Amino acid sequence: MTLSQSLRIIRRLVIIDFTGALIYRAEFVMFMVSTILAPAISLLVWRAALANGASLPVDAEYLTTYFVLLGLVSMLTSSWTSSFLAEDIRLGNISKWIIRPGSTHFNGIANNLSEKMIKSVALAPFIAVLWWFFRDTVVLPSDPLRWVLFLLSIVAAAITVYALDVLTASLAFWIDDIGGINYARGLLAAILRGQLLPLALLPAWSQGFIDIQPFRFTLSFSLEIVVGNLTTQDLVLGTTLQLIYPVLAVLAARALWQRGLRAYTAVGA
Amino acid sequence: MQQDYDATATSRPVIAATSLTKTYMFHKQGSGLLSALRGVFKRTMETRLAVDAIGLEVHPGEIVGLLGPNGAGKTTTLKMLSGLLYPTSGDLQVLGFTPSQRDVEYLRQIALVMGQKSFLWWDVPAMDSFLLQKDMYGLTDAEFRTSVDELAAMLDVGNLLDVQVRKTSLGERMKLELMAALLHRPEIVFLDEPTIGLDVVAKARVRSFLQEINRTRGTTILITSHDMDDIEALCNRVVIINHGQIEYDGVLAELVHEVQPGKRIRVTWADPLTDFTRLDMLGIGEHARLTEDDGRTWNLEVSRDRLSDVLEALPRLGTLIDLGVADADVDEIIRELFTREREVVS
Amino acid sequence: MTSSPLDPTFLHAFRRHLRLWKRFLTQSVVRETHYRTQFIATFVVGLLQLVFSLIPVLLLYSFTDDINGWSRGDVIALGGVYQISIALLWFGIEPNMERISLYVRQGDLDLILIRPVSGLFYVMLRWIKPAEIFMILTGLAVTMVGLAQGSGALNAGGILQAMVLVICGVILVSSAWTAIVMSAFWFTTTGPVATVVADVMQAGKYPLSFYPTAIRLFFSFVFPVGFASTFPVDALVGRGDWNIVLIGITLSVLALLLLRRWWHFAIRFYSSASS
Repeated sequence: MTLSQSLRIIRRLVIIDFTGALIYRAEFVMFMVSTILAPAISLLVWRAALANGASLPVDAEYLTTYFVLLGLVSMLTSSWTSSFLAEDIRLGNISKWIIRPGSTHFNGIANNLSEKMIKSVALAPFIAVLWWFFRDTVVLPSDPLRWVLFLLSIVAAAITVYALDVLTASLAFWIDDIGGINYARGLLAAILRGQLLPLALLPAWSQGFIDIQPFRFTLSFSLEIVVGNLTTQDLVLGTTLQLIYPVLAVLAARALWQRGLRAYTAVGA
Repeated sequence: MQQDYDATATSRPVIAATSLTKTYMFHKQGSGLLSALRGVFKRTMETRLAVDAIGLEVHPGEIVGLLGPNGAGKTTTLKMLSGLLYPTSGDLQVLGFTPSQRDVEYLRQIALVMGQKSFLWWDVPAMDSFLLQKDMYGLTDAEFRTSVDELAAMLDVGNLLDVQVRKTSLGERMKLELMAALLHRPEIVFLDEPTIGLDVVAKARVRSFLQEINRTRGTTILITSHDMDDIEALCNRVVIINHGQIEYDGVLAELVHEVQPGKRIRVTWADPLTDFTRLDMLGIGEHARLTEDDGRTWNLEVSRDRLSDVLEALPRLGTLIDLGVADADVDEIIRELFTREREVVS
Repeated sequence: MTSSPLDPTFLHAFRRHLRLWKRFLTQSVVRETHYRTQFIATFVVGLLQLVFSLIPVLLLYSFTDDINGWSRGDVIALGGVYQISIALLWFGIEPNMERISLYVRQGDLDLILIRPVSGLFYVMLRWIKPAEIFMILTGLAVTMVGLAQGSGALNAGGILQAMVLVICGVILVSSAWTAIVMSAFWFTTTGPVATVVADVMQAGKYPLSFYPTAIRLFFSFVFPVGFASTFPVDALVGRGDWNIVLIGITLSVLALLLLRRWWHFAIRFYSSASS
């Protein structure tokens, strides 16, 4: 299967998914309200702390911009496919995909892309409202290079997260219930990727480790590019890691998935 | 508005419906990306006439079948009769109550079983769901115990009561569902497609149970179905609903005679006989219509009053090997009724 | 069968429904004992979530000692009280919320409406998760830790106020939650309304005074999670006000009455518009 063929299939699947999803308009709006709530609450709480004279490692502009953009970037770099894929493995549903040409993951990738398209549209007004409320303290860079890097890092981050999802789902070839694993991973990731609060606010003694761990490059780094504070040196180092991690994740996911498939088909699909 | 209801007064109907009508609105969406996008902002609503001014009277102890094709309005009618739907217009009195008000005293006298939906709790034994029914309908311990024993014996499910419902088969589940519905000894039982998805044996079991309940307790039963066998086996009275209207209301056997008064004769000849005009020659051609003919076998449709003439004449046409006389097939009649286009009333 | 009427007085109806709820409870406990692994999982998850929610608080107070008059101990106590309210809600109300839209979508509402019980009672209270009740204990522990670290003056009156306020909070949040989810009737929505409301509730983890005025008012009177967290903690640290308690009780009664009205309206719509 050539690359253009693969892309064509994915494009078709995306359109089908998109059309089907539009019926559930209210559902998407609701998901987006959920997405925006946690960052909004955190924003208000940390601003209250600032207003009371707390001296934080970052200023009000950093905090506000971070939280305003958090919902959008977190959505764009998210993946939800792990539990579905695991369920398919458990129930034997992937058989119907294995016998078709092309990767088993086309469906998942298409779904991921189409839903993100719809969610972006649904989320935009909420982000706009949030922005409007805090427009005095939201500061964005004018340097176009930063924005290019921003978009690239989002794509890289999204790939990493998706690959990690496939990786954990692959465990379903051997383990009955990966729900617990995904839950623990979710909690850990929420802290380490900067979803709960900006990584800059974590204790100083952890910053060395925080800076290089992979979860930073599934959300936080993208935001850090536009929210401020990164020196050129930081950017170079960060970008390098940002590009390395997705490669590692995809290789690991691929290896484990193939291994699992071999075990799966050996027993009889 | 409640009257004192005496079950032995057969003159007063338990269900009295006049000009019962139901319309409802739904939205349409076209196919394709453009329609889908448009559908996000604007939806076109359409009105549908589900039930069109029907009149119905049911007396205590009757078993009435509502028969009709899918989308005919039978379930909608049933839901109005039980009180789940507000009629758009018309009069309805059941057991002296207005069903849609859902008076507690009304609800405790009826039961509803829907073939495709289950009230039983999946993960626990059926008895737990029965105990729930007990508390919901305010049954005393004695009443509950008696009812359980009685119904379990009738349905032969005594050993299933403590088994998790999800471990039972579809047929067993239906029996338990019926049992749950009848614990509180309702006056009327509404059943919506109760035998759907069941195998032949289970269907027979359900039918005989319903007949027994009707016989021993005098329970009025209203059952919707698109399965002819259910209706034939169970109901002494059938109401055919199509396009929201009642097309027939009466005894099933009479329906056959009404729609298709002729008799069917199937003749098998020793040697192929293709010359039908010989019937004309015998002077009975105009009373017999040939519906099928492959030379060896003739299928004739003969009006009842000329039956003996035709039967007398046939042996003279050739050597008979086989001869059969029967009423028109009920299934065929129903099919014909169902596919008939809705008559335009000017 | 024309025997005596089922509920000759309101008291009879109340007793019958109470007996029914007890049946819901015993059956859910029995069921839970069959699924012991889920029981443990619920507990572990609850603990993890509690710890997880304390991390931002601890970090927050690593940079300052006081925010709007709330010390670290106060906010930890708030987390504990919030946990208690959530435990009560997740015990008796939350298991029903997502199901309400399912009832409508799958037509199971018919089988509920056809039975001689209060439909609203049934859809709000039918399903119970007994395992959640243990989170009350963890919440209590956290509250006590927070109060010990805090600056407040604990007294019997304050404890009583707090308990009443928590109950009011639970009633108010339940009513608002149910009313919102019931709106599925109108929009026949397939969305996760119940989960969105649960997310909105998270604002109660922090003192209401951390938020701008408009939001503070919203969470005090429109979606009154304040009664489930901030106000009880105010009482516990000695800032309690019996007026707030009175307002809480009045609002709770009002909320239930309004909810009942809303339910009847929604059911009328359902009975008219469906097929």
